[in-house]
Amino acid sequence: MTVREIGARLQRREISCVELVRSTIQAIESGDRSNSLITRTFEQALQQAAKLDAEPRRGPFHGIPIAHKDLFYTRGVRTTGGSLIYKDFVPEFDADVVAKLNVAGAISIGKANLHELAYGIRCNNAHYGAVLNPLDPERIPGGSSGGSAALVAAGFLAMATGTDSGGSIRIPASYCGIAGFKPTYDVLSRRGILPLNYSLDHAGPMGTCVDDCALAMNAMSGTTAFDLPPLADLKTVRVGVPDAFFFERVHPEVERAVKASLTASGARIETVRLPDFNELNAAARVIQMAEATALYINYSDASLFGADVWTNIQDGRQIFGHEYVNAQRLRRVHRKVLRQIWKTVDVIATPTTAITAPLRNEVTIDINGRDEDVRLASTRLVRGWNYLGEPAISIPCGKDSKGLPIGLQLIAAPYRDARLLQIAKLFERQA
Amino acid sequence: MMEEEVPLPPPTETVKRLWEAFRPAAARLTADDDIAASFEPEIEEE
Repeated sequence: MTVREIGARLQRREISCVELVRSTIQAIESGDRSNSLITRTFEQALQQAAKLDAEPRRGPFHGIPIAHKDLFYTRGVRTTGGSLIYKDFVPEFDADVVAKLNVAGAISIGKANLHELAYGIRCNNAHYGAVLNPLDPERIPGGSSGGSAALVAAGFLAMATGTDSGGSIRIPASYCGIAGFKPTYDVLSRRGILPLNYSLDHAGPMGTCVDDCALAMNAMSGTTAFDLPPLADLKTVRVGVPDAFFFERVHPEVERAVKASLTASGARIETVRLPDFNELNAAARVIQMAEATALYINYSDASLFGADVWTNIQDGRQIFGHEYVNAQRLRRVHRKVLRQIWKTVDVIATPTTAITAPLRNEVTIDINGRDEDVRLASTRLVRGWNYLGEPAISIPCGKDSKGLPIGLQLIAAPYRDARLLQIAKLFERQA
Repeated sequence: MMEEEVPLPPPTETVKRLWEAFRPAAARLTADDDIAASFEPEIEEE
């Protein structure tokens, strides 16, 4: 059920907050096969629900059970980052977005599992156990916000928080068949979120649908700016489709579903020429590696890290200072190109991921007879938007022949977050 | 925290591929290209 549907039941008093939280807890305890939570805060959730039952309704999130990716500080509740380094870390304050969701009446039932330190897409966490895709436990949920996505996709929650530094909200949204929104850089506060990359990190919502994300953005920002009135249709919306890169080395079933969704939308489709995303992704990766390594360079004990995260941190030591600075300079060059493109289209549409959810043991995957690295197939269409800062959302737009969800990514100009969500709702409806 | 320095490993294939993609782009930067005043994306509100 969506946030609005649950809210309506609460408002009609068909169910109390306590009953709702209790049924959510029971469903997770008996049905979570994905190892979605690192820490459960069920007792606190029931206490909070009882308090909210005695209060006037605060708004759409009043009494709605949610979970926070275990990267968000939660006062008095340990925040591990999926890492041994923070295994006993108990913050003394809430992250800003956590505090705002509390004020809105949301009830946290726990801290969601993730790829260690948010530095990866598999969620094969070496310390707290792997997160499994609830649609097929042999497959990865995507990451790093995999626990959040699994909780929503399994139907336990309507919304969970995530973070996205190189696709970490949109990749699991694509692989689990839910909506995941990365707002414009800096629109949501990062205070009280364990960092991975200072200049690429974004907080955002993951929900059953676009409307859940829009309502969550209101709550997470403490505004009402993100829930615009619905559009009648997409006839006047200009959708840019990149002429290169975004439909190359993409699985044919993914390409077909995304293009069918664009055709069915009724929007004005226009071809756009973007900057070279091979270069742009490389620059984003230079920044990511340098910034992440800066955070963890002082740790010399490899046993504190999963093997992949340790390798990533050591790889970052190969990035020279001048390369990091030039990667930041290139950012300005690419932004100038994007500014021109946003004068001609309202949104850009691409697949979110080049493939559907891969098997847990797959390292490479066949796309059109060519082996592709699973990490690159997962990140190459999403990473650049963290570097540029544009708002971007992933929504389901169909299924492949295995019945796995396919993600459509829609991107808009900076600070057009509300407009993007408004347009995405119509794409979602026709899908 | 750091007790002993970990020797710098040789570049992995990942790093080599990254250099291959990134260095030509960086080499095209000129002194005319703006140097970001901050390391944040500098997004203008329209």
